[in-house]
Amino acid sequence: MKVLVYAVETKDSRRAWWSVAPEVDKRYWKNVAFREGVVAGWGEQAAAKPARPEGVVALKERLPLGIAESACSRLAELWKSGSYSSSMGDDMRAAIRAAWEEAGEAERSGAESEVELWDHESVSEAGFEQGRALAVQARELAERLRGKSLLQAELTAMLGDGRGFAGEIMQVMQLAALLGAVQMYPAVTPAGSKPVRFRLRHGEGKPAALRCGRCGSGEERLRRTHCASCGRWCAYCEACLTMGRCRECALLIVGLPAPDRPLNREGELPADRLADRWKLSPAQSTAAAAALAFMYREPRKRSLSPFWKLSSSSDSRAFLIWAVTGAGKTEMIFPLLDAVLAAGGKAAIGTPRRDVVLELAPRLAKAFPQFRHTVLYGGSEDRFDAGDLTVATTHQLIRFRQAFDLIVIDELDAFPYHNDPMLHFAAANSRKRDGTTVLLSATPPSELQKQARRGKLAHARVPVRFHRRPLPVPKRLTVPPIMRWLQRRRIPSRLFKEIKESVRRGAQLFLFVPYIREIEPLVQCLRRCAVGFDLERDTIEGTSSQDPDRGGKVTAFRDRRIRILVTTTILERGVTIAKSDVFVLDADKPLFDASSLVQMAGRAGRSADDPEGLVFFAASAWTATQKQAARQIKEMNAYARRNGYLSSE
Amino acid sequence: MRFSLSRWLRPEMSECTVCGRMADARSNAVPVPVRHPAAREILQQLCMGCRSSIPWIGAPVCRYCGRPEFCPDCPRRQDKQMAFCRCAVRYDDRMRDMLALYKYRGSERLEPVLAAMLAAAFERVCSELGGRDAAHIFQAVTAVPLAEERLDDRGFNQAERMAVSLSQWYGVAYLPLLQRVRHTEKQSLKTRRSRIVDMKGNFVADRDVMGRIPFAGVSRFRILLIDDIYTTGSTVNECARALKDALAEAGVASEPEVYGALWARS
Repeated sequence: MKVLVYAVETKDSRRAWWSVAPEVDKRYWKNVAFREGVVAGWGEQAAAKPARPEGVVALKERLPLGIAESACSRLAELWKSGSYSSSMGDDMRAAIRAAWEEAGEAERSGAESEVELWDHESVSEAGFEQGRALAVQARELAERLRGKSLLQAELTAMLGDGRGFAGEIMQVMQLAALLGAVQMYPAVTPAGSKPVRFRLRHGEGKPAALRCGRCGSGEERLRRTHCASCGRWCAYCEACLTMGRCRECALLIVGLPAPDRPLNREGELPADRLADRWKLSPAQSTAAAAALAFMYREPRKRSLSPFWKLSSSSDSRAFLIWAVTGAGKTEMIFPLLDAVLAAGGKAAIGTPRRDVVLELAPRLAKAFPQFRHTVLYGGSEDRFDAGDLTVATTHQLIRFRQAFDLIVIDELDAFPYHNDPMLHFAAANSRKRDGTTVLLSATPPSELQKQARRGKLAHARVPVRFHRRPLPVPKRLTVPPIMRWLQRRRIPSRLFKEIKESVRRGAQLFLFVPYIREIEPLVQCLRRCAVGFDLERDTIEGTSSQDPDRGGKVTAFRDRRIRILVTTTILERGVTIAKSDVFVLDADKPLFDASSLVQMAGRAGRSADDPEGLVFFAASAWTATQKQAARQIKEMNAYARRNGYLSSE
Repeated sequence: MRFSLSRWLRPEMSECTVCGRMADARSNAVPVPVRHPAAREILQQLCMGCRSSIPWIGAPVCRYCGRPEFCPDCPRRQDKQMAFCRCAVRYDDRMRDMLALYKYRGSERLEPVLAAMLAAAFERVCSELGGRDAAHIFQAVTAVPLAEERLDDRGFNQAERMAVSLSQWYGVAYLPLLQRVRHTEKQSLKTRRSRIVDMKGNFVADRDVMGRIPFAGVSRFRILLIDDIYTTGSTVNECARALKDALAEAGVASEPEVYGALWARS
């Protein structure tokens, strides 16, 4: 889009603005009655009245948003330094020329630089009424935009489903922006918050480096195309494209942070009280109490830190709950959610997986019936409004900015959150500055494990499952690679024996394989041996991410209609089967990393009735990854034993 | 793009433009029905899965609209302004998703892929007109225009973008000959009848641009019209009408012919 650039001069300052609805700006600065109406409509908050302008100089033509923003920040820098030229128009023209040059389109500068002076408008009753009505709406809009960060199309969609606004939405928004209650940015902006003169160049002779203002992606994820909307080569972000397109000339509308709600002191309970109230095991309640105490800790003052501290990436408001698979992570966060919600704050649970969102939502609705719940995922019914408690995929957090007092990231090491800087950016930005992030994982990424060990990341370990029995330790099973024996259609005798033994003891079997293409042949091969396992042929099934009936098969597996399920890492987490044994085939394949192996091993022995499930890593080689996974599990068991969390063995 | 060891060790692997997976660009196992080397190369960058899922229209059954099966619409159409048109692919679910990703989500990285697919339809029109040298068959390529507001929203006109690519590949001048008169409601929300009626008088030809057509010494005057989807044919038909009327009125050509090349036939 294109916007109008103008500058306002008062007795002791100059300020440049760009506007999406200049008719509002013109009245705001030049119509006394309108301005008084605005003050009346806005209410007590408009106390800080800006000084009366001496003169307002505006360009005659609109400029592409990217250029306008760059020109305005140049002017702000220039005028802050106190260097005023005699004419505002000259300053503006120079700034616009510089902006075009920086964008690599110097030849365009000067084309649209004719300026005009805005005259005073006559004072009228109608002006006052217009100002009042617009200000009332602007205030309502600002309230609705609190904690959000939306593209223009999303704002329209948000207003469309609820109560609309009588006036032109751009006018309402422009007034809210003038009053500082809403901020508008180009959705793709120059990288970093550095002053203009220190801005990085994208490359020799190329335009300044940009980044996506919504997802934080840099030049490598931006693409420049010719844009019919602003008439120049305009960059758009490919990283967050699925959430709506951010481009240099598109508005990103950011509301004020959600209002602060200090926690009630009485919410901070010791471990034993938590255990009673939320029915937690000792290990669970100790971790929950530690997290709760962390949440109540005063936010550290953002003092000037020594330079060496700046490089540390750890977040001082983040707390890691490192809980083994099957520890009952969700129950542990209930006390935290309760503390925030009881104080009137907002909490969110973000998880990379949609399955997890759908599973969590009803449990939370049951645990906190008195609060408003919002469930967000691609294609969900709710879209924009955050209730008191929001459960969302991590992608959806991109639409929030300083909205939550507490944000819990569940399964933070799962795809696609893990290693995606855009989702980390979204999660970090959706939290209030002084809010708390709680990270939940059975297998934290090694970077976080390191930070935790070095004391840079506050954390609590939950080394034991809720049934207080040790985790099953993986056993090594040396068999040739799948491909070799699958071709000959013969299951290696060692593997055959163990599968048969598991079936005999009445367990459900997970068979994990690295590749989807191996599932079908393996299912056929197993079915041929079904009689040998003493099973019906159709109790052996396979499923993968590409299987439309995955949900149905998992249910059938849970109901014991399926006894052997061949699958990939898609089922490595989130699935709880009462009595199950785990076989990881080709466990030496690099596709399975240590956390994957730990997660898959974590499918065994989850219920109190059968805590001693069996786990086998079947591979031709015992790799470092497998060793590492086995070591992690043993370490957790040892830690639990030392701390007396295990029930008598 | 992240560093990957496999990319480093096997440089012939490249990222598929459509699905983003790594694919071996050299594989020729799936044939591509396009002759132009630049367009071929774009399509060969796709992975095997994406390439083999393109529902090419191998043999048009309807001689008018290029539909690959019996077409009940064209025989009953009375007012045929366009000579004929050809479409590159069937509009199945995958193609619908691909077009939506490009057109509505704005993933402009798909643009060359769609243009390269459209090249198949373009080449078919040429060969049915008895030649491979597009520059001698057509005097100009033009595209169905977009309403001003829509263009402002979207930032690009997909038909125009594809037409420009074709014009560069085949050496035929691209000229923005058409303009849209009034803004119509979204096409997809309408019935066939109302669409045909509604399209009437929707387009006009731009006289100034028309003056730039190189017609000197041309015996048969042909224009190629580009659009993304053929549904009822009312859009291309009305565009053809506007072009022919304007050309006749300007006395440029007594019997101009307008042909269509479209990306998909729904």
